[in-house]
Amino acid sequence: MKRFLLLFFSSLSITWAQKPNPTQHLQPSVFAVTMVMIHDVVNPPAAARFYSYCLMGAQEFVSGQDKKIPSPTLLAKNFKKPDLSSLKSYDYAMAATYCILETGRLILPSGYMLEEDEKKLVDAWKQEGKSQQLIDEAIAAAQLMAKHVIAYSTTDQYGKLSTRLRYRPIKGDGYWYPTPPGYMEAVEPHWKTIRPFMLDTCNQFAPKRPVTFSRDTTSDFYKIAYEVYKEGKDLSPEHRAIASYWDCNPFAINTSGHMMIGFKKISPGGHWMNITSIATTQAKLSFNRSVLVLATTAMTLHDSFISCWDEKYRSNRIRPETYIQQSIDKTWQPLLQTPPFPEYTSGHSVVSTAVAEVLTFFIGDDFAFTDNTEVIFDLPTRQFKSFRQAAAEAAVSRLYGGIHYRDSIEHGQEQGRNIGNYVIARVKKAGYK
Amino acid sequence: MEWGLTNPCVSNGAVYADLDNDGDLELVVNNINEPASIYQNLSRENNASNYLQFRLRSPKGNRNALGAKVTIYTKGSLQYQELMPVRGYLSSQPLTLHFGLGTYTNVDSVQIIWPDLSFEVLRNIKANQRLVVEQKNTKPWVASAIKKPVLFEKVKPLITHTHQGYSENDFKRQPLMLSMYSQSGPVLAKGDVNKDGLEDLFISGDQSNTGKILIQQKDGTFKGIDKLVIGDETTSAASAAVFFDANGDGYDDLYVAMGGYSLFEPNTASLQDLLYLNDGKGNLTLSALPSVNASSKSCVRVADYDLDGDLDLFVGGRVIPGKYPLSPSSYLLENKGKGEFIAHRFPINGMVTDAQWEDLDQDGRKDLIICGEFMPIKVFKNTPEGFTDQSSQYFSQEENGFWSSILVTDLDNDGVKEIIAGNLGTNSQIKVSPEQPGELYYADFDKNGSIDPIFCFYMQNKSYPFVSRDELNDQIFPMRRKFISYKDYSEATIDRILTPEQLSSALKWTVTEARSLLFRRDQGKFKKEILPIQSQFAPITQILAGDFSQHHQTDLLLLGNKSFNRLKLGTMDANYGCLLKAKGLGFEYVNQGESGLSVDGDVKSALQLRVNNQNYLVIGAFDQPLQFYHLK
Repeated sequence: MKRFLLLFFSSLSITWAQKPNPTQHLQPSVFAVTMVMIHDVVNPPAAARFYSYCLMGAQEFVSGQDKKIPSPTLLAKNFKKPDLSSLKSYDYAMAATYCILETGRLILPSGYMLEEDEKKLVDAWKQEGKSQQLIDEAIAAAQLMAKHVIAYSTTDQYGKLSTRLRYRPIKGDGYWYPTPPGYMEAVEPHWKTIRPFMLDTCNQFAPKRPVTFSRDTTSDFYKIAYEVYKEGKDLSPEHRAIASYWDCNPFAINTSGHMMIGFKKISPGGHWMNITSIATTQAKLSFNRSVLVLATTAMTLHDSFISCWDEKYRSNRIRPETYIQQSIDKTWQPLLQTPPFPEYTSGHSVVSTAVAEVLTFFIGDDFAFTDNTEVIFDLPTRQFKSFRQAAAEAAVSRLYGGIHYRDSIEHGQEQGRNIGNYVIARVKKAGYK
Repeated sequence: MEWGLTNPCVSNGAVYADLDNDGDLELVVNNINEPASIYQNLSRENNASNYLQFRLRSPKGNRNALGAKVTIYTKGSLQYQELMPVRGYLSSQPLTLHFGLGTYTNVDSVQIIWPDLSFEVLRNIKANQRLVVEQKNTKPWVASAIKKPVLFEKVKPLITHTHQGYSENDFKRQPLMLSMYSQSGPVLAKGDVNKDGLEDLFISGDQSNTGKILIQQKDGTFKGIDKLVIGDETTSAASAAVFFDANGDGYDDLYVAMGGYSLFEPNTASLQDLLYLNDGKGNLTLSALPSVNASSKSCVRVADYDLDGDLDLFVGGRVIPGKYPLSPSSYLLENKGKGEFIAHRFPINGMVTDAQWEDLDQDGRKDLIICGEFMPIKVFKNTPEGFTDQSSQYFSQEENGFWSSILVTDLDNDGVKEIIAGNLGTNSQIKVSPEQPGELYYADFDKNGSIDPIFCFYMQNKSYPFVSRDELNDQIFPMRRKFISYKDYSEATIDRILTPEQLSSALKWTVTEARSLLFRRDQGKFKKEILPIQSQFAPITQILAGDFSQHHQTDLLLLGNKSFNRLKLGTMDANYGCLLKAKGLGFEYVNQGESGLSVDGDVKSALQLRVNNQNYLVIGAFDQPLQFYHLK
């Protein structure tokens, strides 16, 4: 009897495997969007914004079918239900998947590159035996939804960024100044003016004040700078590996003589989107839940970046590289390239911690996973015991990498935790069970 | 003649050297990822031109005589070189000094000043040889400071005042402007505030000085009026000023126009002009003015335009801060007597830089001549009913320019006045003509609330945008989707950047003339004459007329420069004071050595001041000390 039962179950699972699972197209679609962003060198805050809109339509499709999934209209400020009355019938999962690519096509600078991925998706559907009518219906629905999301996106003040006063580094000791080797302009100094999805205001979870700047060798500031200096000077192989793993610099410049080469990489947001894909797949979440988790992760990233960037251009704090070279050792260089914006708080600490809270809520603590996101950038895979462990490592990696002080990391984690918990409360309030 | 340099490659270094010892210089170019190129110079083979080379040797120490100075004299002309073979990082040229002699086969004399400051003279040297000169029997050389009489003698400033401008970056506010508008000071104006017959001076403020009036004392020194602070440069920027009798009491009052750009907002106190009335005892107090704060101003010009016996003003609008290149408001300030004014908007298309009142049609009413950036020189006829644009009656064609100054005066004493107009000059990348105009397209193309100005001018017979792809993307985000590569953008013209709908809705300014000009009346119309090439070396912002060379004719002194431009345009500061001496009906440039002028900086104001019965030229340049020249 037992044997039979086992046999029965295994034959059932075979039938399951043969039946196409819509979830299998989800991760590749999100990753296709990631690849275009790597190509376009989208900066970290802007990347989070793009992910959010790409997944918003998908979530709306799913919420229309599944009572357990809250509609983004209950989460995202001012987002209204689209008018889908012109559509007769459509496969919502197909439409949701296609909508990710279609929104990306419309919103990304090199969105045209996603036309190729849309074609691939359609081909895969055909292989699965989906009828042309089913495909056409899904595409029509996705296009309508994508247009609706794009219209919503144009009201978030992003278009106004080019009308704002360009940033000038603040003159005076202790303030951020462009760093070598690129001395690039400050990234998105007005990002706090972008509309968040769930936060009331950009400064709703403003972090604690940073350690007061000082050049005095007995000061607290000197001490936290000295820690970064010392860490970099005596970097252990373990810490070096951690710092490199979580670098996530979308455009690190390497110079050789007069030659400058930019190395493109995934952004911190992109890394966490991929971890989310890995986790939802490993946890065998349903298509509907997977979409919700991906979409919520994206919105959490976006709100975290707004909160963090608000602080960055409030404190405008000097980077360790600048301070250490001026006050401790003029030959010191950080392991990682200093990103082109003020130091406080650490962006990776804020966003990683916030997202880890959200993922822990959806998938659970003690969820061990293997992260292979960085393999395409010639880095090894890395095992984690939990999302929180991964986030904690991402946060402290910035100290090992020589680009953040400890208070920036710890206060940033607190800021991220507050945002994460707030998002969870909002998702619960919206009816998620 | 062809250069023969036809191989396209990427090169990052070159030296020249007479490799085949035939008296001309070969070119050695190093190329990236390719072998170096050597170009043989065929000048000597093809033309029978002559040369003379020197190889200098010292007995000890600096054996190659680095730093030696060699002057060769040939029939009234001289050539001079220093032996300095270093060229850039880790690069050097041969130690041979090479002089081309053209048709001369003989050099009259050669003076060599050796690095130890001893010298020798060689005479009657035959051309076409490499002369090896050993240092021996040389005599000590003493720099002979021959002081030639000059027309303008630079003197120690009678007033110690260094302008210290704010370090503004207007491109942070509107990245696509061609130049900045914040740098408007120092503004100078002269008048006689206490009616003692001595000229007093207004100097506008800056980040370290407050605006002030300096009273000339009997001994020729200047003393500020106690507790009088003119304007507040922390919230505004003076851009023009004039002393005139506003209230008809016979004493000079002061009008200060506010301009600049900075973070100033139109219709706020930052751009409100100021009027200081004189109480007849030399005390000036702030007096009410109607609201004239819609734009940043460029000039104030005084005339009794309505013939009611009091002095009225024209105030020119330069730019609307944050809204370049929209036409700013200019004003006509009608004096109701006693220094009370009514402000009338004076509609003009373009950004006004200067204006002059002149009764061109001799009907007894002063007409208004106006110039500006992206506009022609305009003549507005003054009638009892108002002003009418009669430019076409005075100019056979519109001369759209980057006009920056204008002077109306009778240069040739024939009773008919000429117009001298300062422009950008021809010493910049921007080349324009009526056939190949510079064009500025502007509108809010991406509908996000900011004006997107796109300037285009012709390169090799095709009009391209001046703005780079990065700059355009930064101004109009959707452009990133339109031009996905730099290569794609490199060939883009305005009709590809803008859609047909955008192009048709775009407003457009045109520039067809960049040269500074003189207009002479010819059968009623102004006919243009081009000022000498030296006048075109830099933008002209101040024009003074006078008999500077004391020959009973009217000369012209052109001052200017413009340093705060887009990085791609660079600094335009090749004007050191361009004196043009009247010669018959033409003008001849006077060498700086003869004029004595060595003016530094971007000149914002210039005037002649009489102190102790002596005439001085006073020049105010941005971030510079006041510069004083004594006029002979």
